[in-house]
Amino acid sequence: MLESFKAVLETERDAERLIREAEEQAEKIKKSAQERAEAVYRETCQETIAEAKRKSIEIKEQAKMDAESEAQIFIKRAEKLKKKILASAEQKFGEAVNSILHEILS
Amino acid sequence: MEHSGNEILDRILKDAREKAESIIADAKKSAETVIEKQRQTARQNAEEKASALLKRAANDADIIRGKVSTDIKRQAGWIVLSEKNRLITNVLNEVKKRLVNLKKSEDYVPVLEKLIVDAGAVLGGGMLEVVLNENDSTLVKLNTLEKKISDRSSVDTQLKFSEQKIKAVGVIVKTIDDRIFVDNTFEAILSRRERELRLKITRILFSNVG
Repeated sequence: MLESFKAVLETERDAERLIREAEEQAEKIKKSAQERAEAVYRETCQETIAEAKRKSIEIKEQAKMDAESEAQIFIKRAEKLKKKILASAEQKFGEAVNSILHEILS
Repeated sequence: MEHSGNEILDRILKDAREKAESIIADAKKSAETVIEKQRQTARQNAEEKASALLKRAANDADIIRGKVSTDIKRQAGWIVLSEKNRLITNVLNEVKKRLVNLKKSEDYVPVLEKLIVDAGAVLGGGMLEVVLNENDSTLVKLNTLEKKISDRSSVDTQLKFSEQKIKAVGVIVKTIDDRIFVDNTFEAILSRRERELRLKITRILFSNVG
């Protein structure tokens, strides 16, 4: 009977140890999670901001490319107009000279 | 009895193990929840900054588009304008050349006389001096011009050649006291009327283009 009682007592001690060890491990897990949570906060913030920065750069580069593409259209139009102007001026050069001479001398 | 005793011991240990596992499982679950919550909080907090960054980027993009657009429109305008300006200057240079060459033509003297009369009339007649270049002094008869100036200004007019000579083609007429003068050299006329003449040339040369 005494032996049995001792065995129960011993087993209960083992059980308590098991639970105590589990609680200690749980405490470590929580502590580690707390530290990990801080790192996760930092990393998530950094990732979100980095992603936004990357998109910002993309947005600005796209705007620049769009604008430069539009610019080329403007320049081509101007060059075309320049040719028309030159053709017109060559055609009317004599008329303009005579008209101005007349304006000054008459 | 012994068998029953072992069962009790096993049961005690089994319960303890289950409780231990449950404690650890709860801790793990709690840890995951904490981490996930922090992740969500971080996203929410960072999202505000990210949103501000993207908004600023959109504004910057508008500014870039606007600036490039303005610059390029200015550049395109400049291409057209500088070409027009070059062509207008070509006309004015040709006019200058022809005016200088006019000296060699028989039309020169009447033109010169007209310039003297115009200048004399602007000065309101009276005692006036005519400043010409060395060669032109012999070409002009002043007495015929005096009457024309008198008629236009309604003031008796006397003209005399100045001892002063100019190098330019054309004439300078000045009051005898040297206080007022009209510069009717071709160079001065062109310079004085350049703005108006450029407009006229523009209308002639480019009326049919944009």
